Amino acid sequence: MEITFLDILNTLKKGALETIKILPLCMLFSLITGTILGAIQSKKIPVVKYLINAYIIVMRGIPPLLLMMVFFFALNINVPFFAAIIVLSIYHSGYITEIVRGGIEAIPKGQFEAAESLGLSNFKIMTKVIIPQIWYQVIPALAGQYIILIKDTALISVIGVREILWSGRQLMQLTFKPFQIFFLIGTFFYLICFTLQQISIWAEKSLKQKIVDSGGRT
Amino acid sequence: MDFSYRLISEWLPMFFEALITTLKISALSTVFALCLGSIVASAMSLGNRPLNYILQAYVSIFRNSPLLVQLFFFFYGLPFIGIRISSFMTGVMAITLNEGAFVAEIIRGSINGIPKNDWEAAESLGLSRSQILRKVIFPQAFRNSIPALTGQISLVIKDTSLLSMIMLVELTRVGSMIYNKYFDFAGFIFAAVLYIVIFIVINNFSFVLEKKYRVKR
Repeated sequence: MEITFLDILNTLKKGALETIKILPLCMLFSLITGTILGAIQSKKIPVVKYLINAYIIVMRGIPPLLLMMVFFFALNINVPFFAAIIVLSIYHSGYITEIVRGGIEAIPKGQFEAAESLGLSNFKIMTKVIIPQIWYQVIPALAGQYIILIKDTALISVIGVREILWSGRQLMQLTFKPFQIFFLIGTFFYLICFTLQQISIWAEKSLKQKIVDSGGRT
Repeated sequence: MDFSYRLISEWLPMFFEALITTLKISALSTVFALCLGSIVASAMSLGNRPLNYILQAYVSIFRNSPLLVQLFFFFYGLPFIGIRISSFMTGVMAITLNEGAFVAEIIRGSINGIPKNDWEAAESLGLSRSQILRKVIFPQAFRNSIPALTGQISLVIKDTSLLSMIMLVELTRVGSMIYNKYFDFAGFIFAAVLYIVIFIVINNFSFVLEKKYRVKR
């Protein structure tokens, strides 16, 4: 049976849908965890500080592929889909913690003092006053991290998630058309990353405009 | 699912060999990527239109697609057009092209950050455009981009773990070999520890480097 270009496209489409299903979940979870840890980290609580630092160093030092194997094989998570989401979220929240902490530390001290003088609790200062302000600062770095996250989803084919690269390798064994297949997969990732980049540029600009319109008050 | 320390000591020579391979690949691709990135960035700033489009396409394509896909592209694709090179060379090539694009983007950014006056001053001394770039602009730009470059290069060691997918025996591969043989994840943990140690060493080294070459203004 001859496998046509259309068949290749159809198979890759199935894989692409799986990738697109996993991506937003990873983005969301890593953002939530990263923001919480970043907020805690900016408080500089004695012991917790070192624990989170150790976590960040481990995540920065270990290759995502190896982390995936450790989680999948050592912890015996039998559903590849969940294992992939857990690993990618844990891995990238390490980086996002640093980004969010940087964003919080860039907020002027006066903001904290003003919020405190209004009688807000520590939790409310963070959630109602500080965190909403950091996004403008953080968007470029966050978008950069998300682009790395998108590219890392290519790795989850290793633990058997049937995403686009997995389909590509199956097709490769059937058709021996490496250039077509991997070029298409590359194009797919390129399009997603490029779109995200454009969105981040647009978001940064529109936020900047908003700040200018409000007369410099963030 | 077991965990035994005995296995690690048994496989230690293998781990050592794998570590050497990992370091060799990282060192080679780092050097090549720095050269490639510098050349691409310099060529971009010379302002030749058609060349610029090609280089921009290269940088953008290699930055925005996963390294694993590029690796498979070369690994499966090259033998098809009659080029047979070892998986070691394929790995070095893929990582070099990938990291070279990132390095090019970083250096291009700092070349653009050099004030226009420097170009004009050098031009008034009668230097040609390529001379200006080579002797005046590039040394400054490279020095300015050292912090960003060290950050990028600490990622190379992590990239090498992907080469386990093209049958190259390096740290991650040894871990999975042990797992496949004994169903024991000790190999993964030991490999992870080695990676983290290498990362910490590189991180401290780059910190020293940044301090030494900090531009005082």
